[in-house]
Amino acid sequence: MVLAHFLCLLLKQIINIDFGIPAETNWIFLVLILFSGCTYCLYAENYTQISLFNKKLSHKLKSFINLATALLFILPLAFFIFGTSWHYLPSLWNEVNVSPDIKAYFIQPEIRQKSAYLYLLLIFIGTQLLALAGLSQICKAVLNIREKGHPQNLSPQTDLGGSEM
Amino acid sequence: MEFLGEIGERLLELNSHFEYDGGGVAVLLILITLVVLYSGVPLSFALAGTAFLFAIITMISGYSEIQLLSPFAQTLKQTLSNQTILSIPLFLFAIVLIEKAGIVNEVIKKMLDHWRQKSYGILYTASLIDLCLSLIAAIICALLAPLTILKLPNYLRTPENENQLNASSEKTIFDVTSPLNYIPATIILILSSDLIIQSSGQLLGPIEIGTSGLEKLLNLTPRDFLSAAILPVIIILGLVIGLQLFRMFKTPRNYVVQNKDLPIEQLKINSRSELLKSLIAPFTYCGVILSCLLVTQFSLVEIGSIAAIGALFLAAYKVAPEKKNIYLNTIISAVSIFSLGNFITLSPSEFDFSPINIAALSITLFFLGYSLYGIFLTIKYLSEKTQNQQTEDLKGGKNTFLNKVMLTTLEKTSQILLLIISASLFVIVFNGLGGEHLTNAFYEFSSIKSHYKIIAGLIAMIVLALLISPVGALLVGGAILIPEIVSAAKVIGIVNTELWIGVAMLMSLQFIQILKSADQPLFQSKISSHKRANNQDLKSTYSIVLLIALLLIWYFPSLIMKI
Repeated sequence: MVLAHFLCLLLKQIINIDFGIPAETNWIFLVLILFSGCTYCLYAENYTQISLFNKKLSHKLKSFINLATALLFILPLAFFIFGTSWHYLPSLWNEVNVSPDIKAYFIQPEIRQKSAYLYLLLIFIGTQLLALAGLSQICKAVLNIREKGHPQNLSPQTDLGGSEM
Repeated sequence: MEFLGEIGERLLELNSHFEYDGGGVAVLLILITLVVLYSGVPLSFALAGTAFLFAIITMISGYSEIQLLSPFAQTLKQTLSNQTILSIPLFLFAIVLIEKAGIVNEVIKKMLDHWRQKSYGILYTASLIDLCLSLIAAIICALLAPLTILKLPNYLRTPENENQLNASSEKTIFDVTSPLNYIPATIILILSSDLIIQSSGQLLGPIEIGTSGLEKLLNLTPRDFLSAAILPVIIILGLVIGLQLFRMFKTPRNYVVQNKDLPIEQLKINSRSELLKSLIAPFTYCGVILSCLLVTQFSLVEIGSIAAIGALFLAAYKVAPEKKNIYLNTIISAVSIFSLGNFITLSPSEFDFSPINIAALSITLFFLGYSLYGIFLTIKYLSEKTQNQQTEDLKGGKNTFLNKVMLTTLEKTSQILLLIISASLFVIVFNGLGGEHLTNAFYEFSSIKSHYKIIAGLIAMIVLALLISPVGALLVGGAILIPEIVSAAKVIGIVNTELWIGVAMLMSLQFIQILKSADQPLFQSKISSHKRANNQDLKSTYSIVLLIALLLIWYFPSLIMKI
């Protein structure tokens, strides 16, 4: 992503044409980052949470909370985002069709229309990844509740700042 | 289904107890969200999940309309296609690179080595640290750098136990000045500028011409917002340094640190050259970023890509210095392209095969090729470096420098993006369940003066930030309250409301930051007793200074307009 934007910037300086990167490519970048990152955070248990009272609880109780989180929040949210994205595909198609971006010099409108489907496919895969991460949280929580899991899975996470090398 | 219908009836009954139409369920939503947050659910999922569940329950029970969540599709699309939000991963990548390479720490160490043998050395160090941080992190760290000055006097009590004091002061500086701690403030700053401009565009129509006479105020952009924020930072820095000088005058003993191991003259010679050498690269980098920020030639995304590439070379120079010739040549090539682009136009429509144009094209293509080659080599060298330099794994692997940077960037970016989406969903549901009526009633309560409305709005956001976290509270509270604040500012007659509101929010964010880190509520700090003394001291000094500056900005908005 960094290289793509920097290359477009260099080309803009050379031939004085603002190539830009088509909006669809940026969407694809952000969707990839969003869902892969969230899934990784859930896997590494490195997400932001208020652990004021949580860290005083027993492992079993923490596991119950994780189970509830996955069942009530992660899974429904994953399917809701997918359902919402699915419904605005027609408007996405029309927008690409009606208003071609003049910055995309070498990318034909037909290719950009197909990229809308790629975008939707990535959202579909991403939400499924998120749902799978939620399922893994459920499995871990159930194992911990039955005292067959490893308690260190419930280690507190770090906040958004100050991670060390 | 009967159970859900009963829920709907109970919700209607709850609303009827409220004086304001439809506000009861919105209040219930906030309370339940707080309970869910404090139970340990991740912040993003708590905001979005609670709002989503509330929406589903109220829709099924018949209390709210079926189309309650329909605006979310458009919001999601706007969020993921927003150019400002797209620049977040780029800036984050740059900051993480700088952090992981230890560039800031190296500069601080060199400064401490140089200034340690002087009187008031730590104060000089801290002041220069602020300046270096502001440049190294491309304006972002300047917003929170004054914190370093205030923490140091706490650790310099007596010169008896020098090693311990110096070690603890160094650690303090490293802890406080870690750029990754500023990421939430950075993101909020970038997002706030976009949100403010969008809100004002809907409410106020075209931006009016300001009284300052500067042409750029006619077309406000997020860059203008960022550049305007420098002024209050300079004011705060000046006030803080003045306060520290006054304290030094009263108790000079607390500020003198001497290293008795080496002769002073020897220390001065060694440390001065080291210090200057360590400052050249970061200063150059920061100068480039600031220049790109202040001119109107580049978009925020392009500046982010420049910042990321520059940080890549800075980190490579630190981590793999044996290949520094390649980095230097690549930078020269890239800069040459920019320079040539200003003098020569090789646009396809205007190109003719004259010798000059052909020569120019050949040179620029050569520079372009070398730049790309140099960038790929840099990435290759960074991919080969591991965390533990004594056991290098030249084949790469999971523990390499670049892998760790990319993983950290991925984590932070995804959390921020998810938080933005969650906050949007929460705001939609909150407004849809009667929250708008609550907000209007809140402002009608303070209808005496518009200034009080604005202050009330900002205080509400600060209180919310203290309860949950500044990141989530500013995203949620800001989205709900900013339109009201902007309209109140319009009543007062503030012309360039976006800049003024943005600066006031920025300084409010600094106020929140000094009470606690950006991602934990205030109550968290009370548990850690060793942090209590620091917070008390911060509250007594910097908070007073910041409050004075905030009041000045609120009541004399012309200070911001004189840019």
